[in-house]
Amino acid sequence: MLSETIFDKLNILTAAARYDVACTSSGVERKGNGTGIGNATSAGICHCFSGDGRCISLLKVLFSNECIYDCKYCMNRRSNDVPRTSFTSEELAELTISFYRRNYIEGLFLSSGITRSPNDTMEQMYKTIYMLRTRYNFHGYIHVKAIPGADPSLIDLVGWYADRMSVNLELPTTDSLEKLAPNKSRKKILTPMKHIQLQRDYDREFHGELLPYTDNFSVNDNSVSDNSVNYTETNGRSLTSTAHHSVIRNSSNSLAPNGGQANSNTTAPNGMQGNPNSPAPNGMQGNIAGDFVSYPDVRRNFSKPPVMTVGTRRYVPAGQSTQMIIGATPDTDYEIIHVSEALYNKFDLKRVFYSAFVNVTHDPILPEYKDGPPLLREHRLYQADWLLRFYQFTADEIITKDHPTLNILLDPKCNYALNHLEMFPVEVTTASYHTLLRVPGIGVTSARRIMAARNNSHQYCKLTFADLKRLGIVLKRAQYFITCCGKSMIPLKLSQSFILANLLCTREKLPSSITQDEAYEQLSIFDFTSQVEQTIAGFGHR
Amino acid sequence: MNISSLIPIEYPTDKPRKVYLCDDSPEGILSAVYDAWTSRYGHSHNFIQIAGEYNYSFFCEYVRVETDIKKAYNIADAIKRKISSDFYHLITVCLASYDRSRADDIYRLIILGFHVGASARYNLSLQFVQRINKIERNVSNERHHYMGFIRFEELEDNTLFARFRPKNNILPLITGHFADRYPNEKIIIADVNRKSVACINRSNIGYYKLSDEDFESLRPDTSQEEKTLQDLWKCFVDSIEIKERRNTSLQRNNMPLRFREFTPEFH
Repeated sequence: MLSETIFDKLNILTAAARYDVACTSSGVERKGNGTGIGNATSAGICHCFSGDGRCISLLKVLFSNECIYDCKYCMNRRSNDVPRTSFTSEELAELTISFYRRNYIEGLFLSSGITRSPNDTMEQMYKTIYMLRTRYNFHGYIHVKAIPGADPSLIDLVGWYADRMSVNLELPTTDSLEKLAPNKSRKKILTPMKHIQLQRDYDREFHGELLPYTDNFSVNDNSVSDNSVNYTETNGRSLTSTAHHSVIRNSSNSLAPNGGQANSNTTAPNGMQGNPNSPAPNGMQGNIAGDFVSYPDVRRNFSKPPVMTVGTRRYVPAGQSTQMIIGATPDTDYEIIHVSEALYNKFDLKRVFYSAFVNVTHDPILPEYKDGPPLLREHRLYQADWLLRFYQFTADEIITKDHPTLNILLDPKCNYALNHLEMFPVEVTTASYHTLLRVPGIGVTSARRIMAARNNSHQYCKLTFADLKRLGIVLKRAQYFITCCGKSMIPLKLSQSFILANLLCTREKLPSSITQDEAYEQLSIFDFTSQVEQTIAGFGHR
Repeated sequence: MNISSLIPIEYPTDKPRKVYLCDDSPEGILSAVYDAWTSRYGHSHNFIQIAGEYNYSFFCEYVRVETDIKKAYNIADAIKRKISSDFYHLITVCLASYDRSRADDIYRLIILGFHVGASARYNLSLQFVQRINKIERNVSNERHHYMGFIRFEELEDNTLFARFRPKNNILPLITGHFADRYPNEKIIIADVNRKSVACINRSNIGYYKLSDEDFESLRPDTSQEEKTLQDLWKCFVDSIEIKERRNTSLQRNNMPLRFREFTPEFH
């Protein structure tokens, strides 16, 4: 039975968790087996939407908002005077099940402040999800935050019971992290991330889903041997039945002061050391994604999420994600996007989340935003992120060092198209899938539909513009970049100023702060002034 | 097969158009498909309409189709055997739609399916295929939404009870999900629009069509704990919101008001 104080606890610990993004329940398909409760669908299910329009899919709470760290931006920082409380494992498990039974939620999202030590906190979280999985036979979705600095064996324990894990990158560059989160370091954050990635790869390879040592790895002989040595060790340790006992012993040892630190260093995967000689990928010079340079590229896994049966334990089957705070530090979009790309390519992350900075602590070193959090910037970053993940773009194509900010007026794909007019117009009846994806107004779904329509169409029913509209192509953007059966929809003039002026006429809604002082508001299709040219020059590549 | 013989001709010159009027039920539509096909009148001259209030057209011959389970079963069985079970699933999803003009599109898709196989739905340059895909998307989107937006109340005997008001007839499409999710629960899901009820007991599923009075009297008492949990849920939904990012129009886009009728957090 739930205790009297549960209302206050839920209130405090929910409010403390609300700045965590990633309330997703996707990435794993699991049918129930007639025992216990719950299943999971690969697409994820949204159960409600809160007043800020964000999806509520999981019961997103902190286990405790007591914290020994003092991160400047965080509401739960040690020096902030807020009511503190913690759940007990029993309470939280019962609450989760009660909500789940009524179809309020898809599962649990568990994060926590650092109560005494990272290990202690991680152990409390482990207890909760272990109870859910074994006592209640809960087969729903569980997302757990890995606490940086926790012992790898504890992270493994959690990994075998959670569906998704995430380690927060917090801030895009090492410098900002040092400034705002003095108790955290890049290395502390990347260590568990790499550990989870490698463990996950072993598990997937064990189940025949992945052959990790392909093209990219063969470039670098050292990394191959490093990884394969590591493979046998770690695989043997964690997949056998005795594994859990040894791991538990391991973790209880490490609860001694500083034990965790030492332990985590010694058991850190060899891959972590990396190869200092490995060539830095293009555009990653300097300190931007410098921390990532030493990691080898992995082959991205775009396969379908694993279909699981209840009872089989898989290591973090839905993959891992991370999040960054946007706008708390002077980091540029250029840095952020390159860091994201490095995370996708080198850590095989499923998602990188961006969270517009909300100033809750009002620390003097933090910026104050007059008209609310930088939501449009966050939106543009998400658009760029989608280009990286689904549209086969590279970070260098999206943004260059000369113009390190994303164009606020145009989405990144339109911006790219405007700066690469030599690629257009594209003939939709013959273009490749890759080329179709580059056209503004054609997304993954509509590109697939075009391919399907072309493969199955018959001689006398060729695609027309009307058909394209019905297939879901956004013609108000695409019309400037495509021809269909050799014809364009409107008299086409491939010049930046013409297209930009027209695109901005039907632009998406922009906040008033931008529309007021910008010149394009007065533009019409008839007056292409020099101002337009300037706008392009300001954001363009050339 | 010549695809052009599939495309309906609105004003044929050689012989009058034949319009089949059928009941608004899966069996009714499939019976009409059977009749239209076996008439050998020519697909481009046949047209299937769901009976109701329409303006009658000139130069048409109207035929009333009696719903016949046997005919419907024949068609369904042939689809499953000769095309594929996926294609059959697509047809059942489209049959569950509330779109009153779906009958003719389904008729044409079935014929196309028998000629070109399960890939018929990808002939996206044909307008009726485009409409079929739109209908399918509408139904499965609503199903997906309600997988999240249905709320259960615990009754005094621990049964879970939910009401919802879907546009499409998605009750039979959605029960499997909940039977799988709550294998050890007794569940009742009531479609308020159609006055139909699904009862799930350990993966046995039964459907019942209730009369108006019976449906009105379906007001079971909730358990004592229920109120507390609803309040807890409201408390959670309230405090998860970032007030600085408040955006109710986005919230309404993502969860339109029609889904909120039976959700405790919005009342």
